[in-house]
Amino acid sequence: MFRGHLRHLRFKIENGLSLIAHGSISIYEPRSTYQLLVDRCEPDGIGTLQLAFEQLKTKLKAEGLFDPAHKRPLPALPRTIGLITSLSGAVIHDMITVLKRRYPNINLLIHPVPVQGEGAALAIAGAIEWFGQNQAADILLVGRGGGSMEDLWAFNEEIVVRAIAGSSIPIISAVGHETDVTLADFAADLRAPTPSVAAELAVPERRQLLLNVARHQQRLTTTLETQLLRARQRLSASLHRLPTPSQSLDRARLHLADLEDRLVQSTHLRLRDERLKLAEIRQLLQAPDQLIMKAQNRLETAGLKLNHSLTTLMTQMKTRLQQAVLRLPLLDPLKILSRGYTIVSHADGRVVTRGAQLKENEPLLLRFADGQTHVRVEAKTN
Amino acid sequence: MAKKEKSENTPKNFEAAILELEGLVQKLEAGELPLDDAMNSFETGMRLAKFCEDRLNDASGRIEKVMKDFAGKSEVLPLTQDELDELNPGESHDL
Repeated sequence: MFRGHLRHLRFKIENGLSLIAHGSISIYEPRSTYQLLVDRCEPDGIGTLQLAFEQLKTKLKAEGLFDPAHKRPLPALPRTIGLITSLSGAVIHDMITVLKRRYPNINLLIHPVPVQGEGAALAIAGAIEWFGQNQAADILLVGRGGGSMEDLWAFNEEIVVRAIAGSSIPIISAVGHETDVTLADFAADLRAPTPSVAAELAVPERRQLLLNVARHQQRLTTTLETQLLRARQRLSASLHRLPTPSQSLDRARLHLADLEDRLVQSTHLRLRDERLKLAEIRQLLQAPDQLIMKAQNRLETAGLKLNHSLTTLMTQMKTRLQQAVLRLPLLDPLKILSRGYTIVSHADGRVVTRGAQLKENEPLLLRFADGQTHVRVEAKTN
Repeated sequence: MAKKEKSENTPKNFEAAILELEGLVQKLEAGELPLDDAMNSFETGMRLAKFCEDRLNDASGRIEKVMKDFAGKSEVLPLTQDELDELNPGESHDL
């Protein structure tokens, strides 16, 4: 069998395998040998695909790809579901319907892939890797609807099985109907018999969970309310048993009233004392006023007396002056001169009262009533 | 420090929260907790319930698809209205 033909063989030719082959027989003349040139062949008894399936299954199982220990648990509450399937057909429709019914606000990210034919396996494996690299979902649903083994073959291809086993995101496989088994199912973390069931396994029923939370909340509230009620009842029971405080309160009130009275009384006494003291001090303060008043009186009296005596004195003086004035003309020397008398005085003005004072030839002044005359002493005659 | 505190108060995930909530309810219902502890448990329980509810309301329900552009690079796009009509019966028409 030439290499070109071998490449199209889906199974591996093993020793002891019984085959139905198609080809031509050639003869190598120099050695007289026959050669069978096979261009197509298939296993005898079972189908080609079945054989390939079994062979790959044995190989991958030996590698541990299907080990239960490798299977990851599914997240309880995924936020985003990745869907790897064909955009056309009933499968994706069913999946979305179920997912949305169970969990209306779930996020869906669809990676459309061809699910059969040339390039399908590569596309499926590529999509699984893309989700892993981008961590774009919490769970992946990989699958397609039912079909012949030939139709489902992409899910038995080694590249797909390895991608599923190596995925960092948990995968639920959903290929064909319940009776269809693929290697993808063995490698997946969970195998769903149909795409709808896969959707059910992927998400919980949100309504149930909300109900569950609400029920627990309700139980919390009820239990606590009951416990609080019991505690209140115990408290009020204890309060009733406490000795009534009114008696001691009364005592305290009396004591308080007494203290009040004493306070008021002592304050009154004290106030009275203080008032008396104040009055005394006021009197003391008034005394200087009286002193001043008395002094003023005395001063006034003295002033009046002084005034009076001054007036008297002045009257006496006036009287004496009048008498003096009346007597004064009698003493006027000029009146005597008019009666013939002469006043003789020395040259210096001194009046000559005695003849002995005179000297010979001394100039004298004679004053008459109507004037004066200078004369000289001619001779002394004693 | 703040992060550590948060991790002590905030449950790891929905499962852990609902498990803790169930445990608290059972303990409370057994009626053996002193009142102070009961009230603390109640508060914790209500917080856990809130957390669970928040988690259940977390996702926004969007539907997107991965498409390869001309350069062969994958990008995430929202579904067209036609695709939505086709795939999401709950939103556009009854089954």
